[in-house]
Amino acid sequence: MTLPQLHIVLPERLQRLIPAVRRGLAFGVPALDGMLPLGLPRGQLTACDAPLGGGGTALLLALAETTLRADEGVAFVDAARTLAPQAAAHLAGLGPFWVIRPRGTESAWWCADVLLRTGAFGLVVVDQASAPARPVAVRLQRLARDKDAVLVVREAGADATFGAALRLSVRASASGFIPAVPGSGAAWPGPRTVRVTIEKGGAPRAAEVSVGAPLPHRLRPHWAVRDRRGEPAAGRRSLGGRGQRQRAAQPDWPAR
Amino acid sequence: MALAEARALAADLTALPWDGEQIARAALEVTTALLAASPRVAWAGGGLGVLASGPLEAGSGGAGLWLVDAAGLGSEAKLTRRLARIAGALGYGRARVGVADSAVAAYAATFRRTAAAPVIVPPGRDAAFLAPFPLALLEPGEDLADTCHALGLRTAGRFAALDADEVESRFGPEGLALHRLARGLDTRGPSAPRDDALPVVSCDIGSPVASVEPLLFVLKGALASLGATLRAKGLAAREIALTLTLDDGSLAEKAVRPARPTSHEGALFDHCRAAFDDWPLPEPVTALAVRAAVTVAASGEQGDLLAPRWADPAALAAAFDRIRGSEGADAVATPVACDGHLPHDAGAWDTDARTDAPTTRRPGTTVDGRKERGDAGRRPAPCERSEPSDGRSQPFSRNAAPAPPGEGRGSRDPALARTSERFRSRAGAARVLALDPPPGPPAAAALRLLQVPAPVRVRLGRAGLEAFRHGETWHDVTAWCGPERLVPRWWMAAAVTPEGEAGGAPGPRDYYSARTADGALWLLFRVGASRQWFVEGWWD
Repeated sequence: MTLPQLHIVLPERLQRLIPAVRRGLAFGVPALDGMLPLGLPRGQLTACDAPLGGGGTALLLALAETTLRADEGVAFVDAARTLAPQAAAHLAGLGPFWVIRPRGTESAWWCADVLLRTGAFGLVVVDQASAPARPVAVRLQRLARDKDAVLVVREAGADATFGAALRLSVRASASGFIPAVPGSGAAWPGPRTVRVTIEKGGAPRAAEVSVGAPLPHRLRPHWAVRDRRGEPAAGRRSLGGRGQRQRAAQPDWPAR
Repeated sequence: MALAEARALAADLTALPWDGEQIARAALEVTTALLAASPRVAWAGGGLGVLASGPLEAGSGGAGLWLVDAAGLGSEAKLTRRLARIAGALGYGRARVGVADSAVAAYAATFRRTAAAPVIVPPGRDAAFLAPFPLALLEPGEDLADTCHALGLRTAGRFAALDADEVESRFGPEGLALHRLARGLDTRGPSAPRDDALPVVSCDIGSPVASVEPLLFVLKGALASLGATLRAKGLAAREIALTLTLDDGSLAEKAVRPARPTSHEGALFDHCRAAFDDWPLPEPVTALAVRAAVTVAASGEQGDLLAPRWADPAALAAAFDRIRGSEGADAVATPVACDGHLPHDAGAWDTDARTDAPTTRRPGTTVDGRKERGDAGRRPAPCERSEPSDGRSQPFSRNAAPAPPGEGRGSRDPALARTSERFRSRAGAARVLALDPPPGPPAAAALRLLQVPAPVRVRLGRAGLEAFRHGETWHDVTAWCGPERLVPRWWMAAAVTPEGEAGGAPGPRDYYSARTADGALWLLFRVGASRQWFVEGWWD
């Protein structure tokens, strides 16, 4: 790097090292970042109350992605060991992203303790662990403060007995499916809205975030097309017959 | 002193029974602490209360005796002060330290301790130093002691002045051994052979130990001493050799290789502790030695001054090793996308990633660029990321519509494209739905998978799936999508497939996505043959 380049780069990079200037971590979602203009506070413990299926993981992974793009490491403690690797695989190429999968939910806090002590992570997420005891929460908060890291605890409806500086509530709406067959329950999964509310640590504001629809299958199913994979070939009829067309017109929803 | 005599002197005396196990535990504590001062320590038996040491060996008074190798450790005066400090920290403030070439001379030196400093016998002067000491210091047998007393041999010097051949002919082997001690020739000391080329820490435990816990206690101190030695030499251990001296005199050795060269005692201890998990002790252990079998120069990696956060890769690796040691080898991982056709095949956990690996790498490859391989069907072979099956959600685009089969992104077959056109014309324009995306880029719903699919009860109605029961809760289904028929590994025997091992039934599966009233989106499947329903996970 040449000297003129250093003159250009240094002030900007040095600004990021000044604690007073350093912002918290952003979600990378405009609605949430607008609600939290300073981001998630560094050196503090943030609680995220998100029930299962409520979109909490989506927001945490978005937060991780933004953190990784800011050249900071992320550790994700998956206490329940349910995170599918394909859901977070895109983060592994962005920076130091590690998933800790402890044997039990009780040891998740010890793992977070060890990870925070390394000072290598700007964000440590503890997902679906049992609520920490007050002394444990205090110790972790002090570690986060010493290491200037953000500790996010995702809980599913547990009482906020530990001293979180910021507490967010995440709730998903039930809408978002697009009817595929009029009059039936069959539908396409569509985007849904997740409502995020500040319950503690800031002005009581709320924001609605759109969570994209999943594509669980390799092929999008069609209500009018019968899926014949796995059926013995002997049972099939040739294409084009009248009976074939009649059956194909019937949606293949589960029968009684 | 008899107990009655002691009670006469102190009326409130409390008499405790002799507890050999407690003595051994306390001795182990002292041995471990002394390892911080010298890499070679041996407990020579006895109780506690008095400590002594020597440059080659050390001795103590009537209670406890530790022999500490002081060769090559620099100033002997400093070492004696450090030993006394360690003993004092453990509560043995009256410990005595002596320094000599031989253990017996160092033992004698502890009785000559002055108020100013411990006695250090000059090299080669052991015999002269021992000469005025009473012969009883050398602890001869009762018969031999009586004979010597009758012959007027009261001091070690008088006995050492005798001719060795005559001593042997008159007193036998016992007399000859005593004669050698009187001349300052003592072979006692740490039993492990010395190897100055490689850092080694050894300690004689004294009483045989049959369980692992006391060994781990000593091992922690030994590895701390070894780590300090390695760091002082600018080295890191790539391989550690654990050597146990068994009660029958045989040796048992095991090599321990950390994930990366390190001198961090915590990481080394976790690896060694894991080695003991599958290393049953055939005999009680009397001595333990830890040797850095393979060493490399310690990396002097310097962090980026302007990086917002930098951590020593060795410290990070040590932290991960701690977690792996406690939570299992697969506890630390990075996610990798795969091209599996089942939901649980579309990703894998890479547990071999290195902490100092380059962060920009293609999914499905290891840090050094080679392709990853699955292990015997348990772990799916990671490969290039497959867009439609990576488990991430794809946001609906404007004017997006449910696509007929074959119209997905991965479709390249012209025949399928023609088929899709035909279906499109049959479905008609009324099927094309226009969606207004919400403002801002949507976050991606993440798939959560149960480790083992859980069987569920379902309630089916005229509109299909109405509810399912997971655990103790009935979930009302407001909308559902499916089926997608997938056949798990039909080319393998059912018993060796992961789904077979996990209890899932083989055969075709019809996958459904079901949204419940609380907004959660679940992934269920129905096994074709048994018609049994399972819940495999949910999107969160």
